[in-house]
Amino acid sequence: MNGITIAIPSGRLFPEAFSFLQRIGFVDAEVQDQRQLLLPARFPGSQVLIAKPVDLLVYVEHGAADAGIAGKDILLEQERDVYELLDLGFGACRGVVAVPQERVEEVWASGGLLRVATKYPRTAEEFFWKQGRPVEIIEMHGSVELAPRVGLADAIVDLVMTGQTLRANGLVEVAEVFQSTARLVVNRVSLRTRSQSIQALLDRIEEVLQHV
Amino acid sequence: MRLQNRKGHRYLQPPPGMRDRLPEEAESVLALQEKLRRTFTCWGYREVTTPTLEYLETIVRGAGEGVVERLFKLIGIEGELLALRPEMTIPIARLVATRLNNETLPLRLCYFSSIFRGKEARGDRPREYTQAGVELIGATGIDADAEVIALAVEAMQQAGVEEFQIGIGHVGFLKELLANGIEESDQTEIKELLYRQDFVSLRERLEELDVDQGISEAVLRLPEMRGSRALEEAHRLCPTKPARAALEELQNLLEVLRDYCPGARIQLDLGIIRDFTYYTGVVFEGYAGGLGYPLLGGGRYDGLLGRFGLPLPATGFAMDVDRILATWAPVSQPRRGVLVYVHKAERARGLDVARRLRGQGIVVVMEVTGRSWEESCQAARAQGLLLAARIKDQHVTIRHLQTREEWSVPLDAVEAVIRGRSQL
Repeated sequence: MNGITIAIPSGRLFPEAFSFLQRIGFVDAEVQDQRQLLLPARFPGSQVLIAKPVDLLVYVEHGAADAGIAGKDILLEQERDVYELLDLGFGACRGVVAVPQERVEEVWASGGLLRVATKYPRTAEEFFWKQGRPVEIIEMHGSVELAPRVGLADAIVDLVMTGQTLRANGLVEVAEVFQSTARLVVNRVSLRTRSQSIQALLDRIEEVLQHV
Repeated sequence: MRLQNRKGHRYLQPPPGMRDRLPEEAESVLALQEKLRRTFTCWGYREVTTPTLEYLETIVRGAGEGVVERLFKLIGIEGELLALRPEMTIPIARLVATRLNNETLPLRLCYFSSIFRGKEARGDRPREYTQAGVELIGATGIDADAEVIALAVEAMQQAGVEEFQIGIGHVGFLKELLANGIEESDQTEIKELLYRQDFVSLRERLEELDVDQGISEAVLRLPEMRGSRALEEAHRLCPTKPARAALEELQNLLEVLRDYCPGARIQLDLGIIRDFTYYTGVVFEGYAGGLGYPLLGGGRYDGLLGRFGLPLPATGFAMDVDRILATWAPVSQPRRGVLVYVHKAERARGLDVARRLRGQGIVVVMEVTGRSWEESCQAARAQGLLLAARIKDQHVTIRHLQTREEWSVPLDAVEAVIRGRSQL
């Protein structure tokens, strides 16, 4: 695992992604400073890059990182040219359509034009397009659950883990759009030009995954 | 509805994915193209050009329906549907099938062209690419495949790409692998997943489809199937006759390539996945360390020319000129030219000097603004010129713009002095 850069996302997946890298023995240190963006790894010339989740695949696609850990939600939304090789199992969540509890009949069952707030405009658009449902997509970057409460949207497409956020905002799930877990992605050239290190990484991960 | 344009002064910008090239960049492109042109020409490949626009039908006939969403589409003067060419192999196939169909085979053609393709709604990627490539048409067999790959190696060397490697795979092996354990109706989906390099979904689908264990394992092991070890493994995992034939072809090719390009780093790579609708045999890609994307790609496409009425085997490759240039260290070269400064009264004399110098291939810039000699020298220096020559009464003063050294020279000795003093 010499000489490779692995990108992991800040935010929701960070703690699990980082402890996964510890588990496979890629890093041993604790994170001293959350603002640090590059951390040394245990192998010469190797490092960990911490990227915003939406940027992570860009680093890997262009080869600035050789490999990365990314949520399937982002992979679906961005369709980047990277190898998606392993399901790492952690970070499980679902993307769902949710609407205000008292408006299920009115906005969902009616089949009329739906205004949908989401961080996943492409995934959402494709989902509704397949359903033949007319929608207006409103792209947001955070606190999507707020949109229906203030009349910005009729529905949301967003990630749920426990469902607590939905309940707290008076929303109910009416359809599942996708399921997501953390995935190992690899740059298509690194796979070949740094094949020994990448192979060592893959072997180590498979070994660890089998012991879960 | 408000019709306000968010981008404001759009007329100041090129459209998304399009770019300008400043002189230094344009000169690099040209320098690279010259190196490649010399290489291709020395191997007997002759340059062709085709129109930027083709009928949409032509492109679709060559690349399949799926290509449409990635094309720039236009409506022609008579209302016909046109497209900007998304690559050069299809236009050349059309050209050969219709205009070069009586030539003695094989044909060796090369090109240097802009191609245009978009991907989805994202503007963060280029949509215009400069490609250099070759096509070897009307020859089948191992030597034809090897020549084209060897030429790719030579081109990378000539282009100064360091530490590059070539991976060689085979579409026939992949197709056979899939044809063997997967229902025809499911193959499109599996190919799509392979094309997207989504091996997690691939694993799930193969399990759901209850695909034969060996085949399924082989498909999932594709990203790791490289090097000579992979050959044995592939033989074991997919023991059908056509798969064996493809693998043997690869093995022989690798052997022959040792003669074609000794010392080059060429590796068997069964995980190379290129467009299934198009390629029929050996496929290959070129990579350089530290760059995240392939610099070149190509392979055998024996079915394409037949779609244009002239069934002929063919193979070729295309290189991405901009990506290769990205491997070049930026060099700011001085322009090494001469400014000629002359009074109106002696214009003819000045122009004569300029003509003679230019005749020797020296860059000469005439002072056209009416500035003073000192101002002209300053401007010329700022523009990167090396010398300035002032002509006055049969006499020439030559100034070195960096050192400010000056020489006084008789008019008929100007060329000799300029060449001698400055290695222009």
